Amino acid sequence: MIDHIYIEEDAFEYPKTKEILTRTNLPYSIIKQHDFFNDRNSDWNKSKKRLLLRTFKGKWLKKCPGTKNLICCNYYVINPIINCPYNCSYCFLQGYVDSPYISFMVNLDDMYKDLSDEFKDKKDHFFRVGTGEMADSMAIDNILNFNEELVEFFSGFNNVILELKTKTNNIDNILSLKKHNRTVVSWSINPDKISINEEIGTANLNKRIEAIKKIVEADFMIGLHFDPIIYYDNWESEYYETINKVFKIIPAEKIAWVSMGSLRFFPFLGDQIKNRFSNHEIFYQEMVKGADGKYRYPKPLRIKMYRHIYNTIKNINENIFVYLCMEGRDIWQKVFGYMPDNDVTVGELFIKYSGPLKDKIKL
Amino acid sequence: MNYKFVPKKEINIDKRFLYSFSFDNDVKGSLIFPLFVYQKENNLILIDGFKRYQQFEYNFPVLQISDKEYSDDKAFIFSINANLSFRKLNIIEKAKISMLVSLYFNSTEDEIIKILGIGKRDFHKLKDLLLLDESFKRKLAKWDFPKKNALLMSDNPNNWNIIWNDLKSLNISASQFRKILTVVNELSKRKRILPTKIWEDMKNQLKKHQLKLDINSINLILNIIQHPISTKMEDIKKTIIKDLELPENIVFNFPVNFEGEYLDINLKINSPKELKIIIEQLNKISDKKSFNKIFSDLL
Repeated sequence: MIDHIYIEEDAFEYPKTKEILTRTNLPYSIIKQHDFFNDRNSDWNKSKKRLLLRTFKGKWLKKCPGTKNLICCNYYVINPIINCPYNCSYCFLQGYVDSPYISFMVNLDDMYKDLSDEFKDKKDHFFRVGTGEMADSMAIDNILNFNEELVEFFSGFNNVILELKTKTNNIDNILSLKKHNRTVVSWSINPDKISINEEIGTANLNKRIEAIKKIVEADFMIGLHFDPIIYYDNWESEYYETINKVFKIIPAEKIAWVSMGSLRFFPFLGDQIKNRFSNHEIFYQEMVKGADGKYRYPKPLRIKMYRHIYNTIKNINENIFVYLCMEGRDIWQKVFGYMPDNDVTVGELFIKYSGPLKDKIKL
Repeated sequence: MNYKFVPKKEINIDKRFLYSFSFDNDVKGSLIFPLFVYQKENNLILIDGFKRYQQFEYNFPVLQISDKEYSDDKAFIFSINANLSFRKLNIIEKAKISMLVSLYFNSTEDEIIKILGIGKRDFHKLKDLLLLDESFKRKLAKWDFPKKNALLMSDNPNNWNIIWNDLKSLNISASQFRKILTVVNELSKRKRILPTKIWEDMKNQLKKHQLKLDINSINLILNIIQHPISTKMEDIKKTIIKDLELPENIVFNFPVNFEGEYLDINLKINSPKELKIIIEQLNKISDKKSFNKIFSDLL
């Protein structure tokens, strides 16, 4: 966990900086503006223990970039946190984050203003917004103490849903919140073989289940992400057991959505991964380069895996809304029996089919 | 071990050379140039490489360094630096340096690693390459085989000696060997079995398909083992195309790694009449069951 805080000069005077320093009492250093370019080759492992407080000057709300030629789920992202204390072997951040820190943007008033303007300007638009694209939303919240105000901020809008995506059991900060009707807390789920061996440093499956139980009791909506689904010996039986174990403790009416996506990475990232995790057999399975340039399992295998997981879920409760992440329309057709026209229609599916969202989204 | 090293304290000052860092001439073309240190009055004279030694013999000026400045470690680092300034060291030479450092020098490791531009983990794995057969090492040195690939053998050098025994008579090139090495290594990790087991499996499949042990057949079989789903899809695709009995002027082109996304169809006509004919032919093709299989059975 974090053992030192670095603060860029212009971030020092912000109230959030002062609050973090006072509350955590961690040692800190003030540095000049961080030169990201020159840190490109810095030690990735060191970044996991160093928090950088800085400011962000650009546009906060962004459309999830998705991937070329494939269906995206019409998701929006904000990145107040970049990087994560965990060390998942397959993590794409290894190839994208060229900084030796976990960064946190402390000019939060700018973010709230940007979001507020956007949500008010487009009242007829439904925004699903997440902080878990470039970070684990909850992993260092005991240090940042940030989600509490974020959850409350989102509760003030009728056309938005906030998603906090995590692999942790570090959820105590938000348990006592009352204004959380716009927040979905999501867990990435994999069988123990994967969570223990590949999702290094995260909470194992049982701990995640314990955390989910507490969040359900606190009356939050839940999201589940089977992503990345990973192929290995016994994957079928272990995913089956995992799904049954997780769904047993969550009332179906609390599940806002479930996503599925298979292991995928750009070739350059594959080289980096194999260099860092050279003996992890999951990276040596049969994979083919798709139209977007990423390596994935061959399509027949992906379809088989998606069908297995989808059917297992549907056997538990057929009303749960399941979607695919970064797959083509033909795979939607083969797995679900229907295909969306485009990203926008996928967005609409959430309002139409997600049980808990139906009553919450008033456009 | 062919390397000769005489610690400083054991040197008889009357002897001409204090240190001689050289490898035995067992690997032609992979020889570290020797470093000689010569005592002259109150100074030590350092001469690196045969060329400079010859120059010294003919009384050309050489670098003079005081005794105190040069520890054993420093002299060794000087030698490596001097060698690197002449040429790039091959992977077997680097492996030998790694072994020497682990055997004789304590304080030089970080500096040598920095000079060679190798990660610490790789540097320690390198010396295992010295367990490869002599003919194999000679070949790797001659090929100037990349470190990244060569290190794939460091976990199981004796397994790779067995595989090399089959390959050495095939007049294999460096790139052909690199491909085999990569595939066998990846399969070994995928299945969590030794490289020799993968190799045995490959040889059994060669026998089953009545193929000889040659580079093309090895690549063919390894590809089937590595990509079972894709090669099966490829076979189905070929059968479908055969069933369709396409006329010469209609050619189906599948994108690389075709997974049912789209199909390119090339048509050749040289008159409006031919266009009408070809459209009729296409209509008939699209009605065939086997044509629809392209977008269903492959998946």
